[in-house]
Amino acid sequence: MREYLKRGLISFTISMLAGLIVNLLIDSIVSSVSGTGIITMSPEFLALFPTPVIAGYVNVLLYGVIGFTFSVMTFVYDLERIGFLMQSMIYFTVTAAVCLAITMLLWQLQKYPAPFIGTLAGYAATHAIMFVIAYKRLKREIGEINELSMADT
Amino acid sequence: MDIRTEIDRKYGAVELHVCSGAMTDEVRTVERELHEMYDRRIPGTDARGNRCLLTPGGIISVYAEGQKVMALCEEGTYTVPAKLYEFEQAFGEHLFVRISKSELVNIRKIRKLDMSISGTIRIRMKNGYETYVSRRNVAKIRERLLTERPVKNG
Repeated sequence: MREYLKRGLISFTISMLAGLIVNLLIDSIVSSVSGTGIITMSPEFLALFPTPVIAGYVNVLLYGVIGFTFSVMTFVYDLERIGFLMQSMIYFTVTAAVCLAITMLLWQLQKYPAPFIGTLAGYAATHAIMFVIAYKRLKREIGEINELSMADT
Repeated sequence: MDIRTEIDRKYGAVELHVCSGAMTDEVRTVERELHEMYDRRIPGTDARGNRCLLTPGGIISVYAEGQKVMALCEEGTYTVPAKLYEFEQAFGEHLFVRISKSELVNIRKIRKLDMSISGTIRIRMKNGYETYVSRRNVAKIRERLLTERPVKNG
């Protein structure tokens, strides 16, 4: 468990930095084009905090939570008695729940049904494709192992 | 292959040197066979408290059971006084491969792997023992079997 938490903390830090850099880039580009200042946070999220600075800090921390969740949840793939399908479903459910919850908090995605469903569907489709690719690779590797084992007997 | 014996007082203990111009499959096979013959024995205790020395090559699986580390052999199961990672460090390079967080198996004793519809991956050993493999370790098993392939005479 310590190993997963360590990886989770690394992912937390990387996600925070990545989110911060992306925000800075967007803010800089849009500000320079429009000539006015912009902060990439929804008014509803800003309203939750006494100052925009604190909202900004929390925004970055939430990016870190997303990275932390994605990383720590990989422990489910080491539970060898749970099948690969169940592992993928658990991973998808937890990471999707955390991602969507944070997205809803940051950008009020729940107010826009089409983007909300689109985001969820997109993540589900990506996950399904990754599952199929990983499953086929696993089948192929198992086949190769069995050939090598039989050749050894 | 030339086999030479050199008797010289400079050697304090018996040494085996494998000499070749390049690392080939034949060299790997010879190394592996020598390790299997001469690697240190492992002390084990059976269920009745009897102590014995186990040959690494005769161990089918090493797994953690609670606070103990158990070695499964053809003739029975023994408690070994080492942590799993210590065992892996000592023998993991030549004979054993990790299949999950709590188990290593003897690479030479693998019969086959099966994947069920639900995706659980079961490994069957040559003595009939079955256990589960985590997905991450399947690729490692394959890589180890590829590097451990014996040289075919021909």
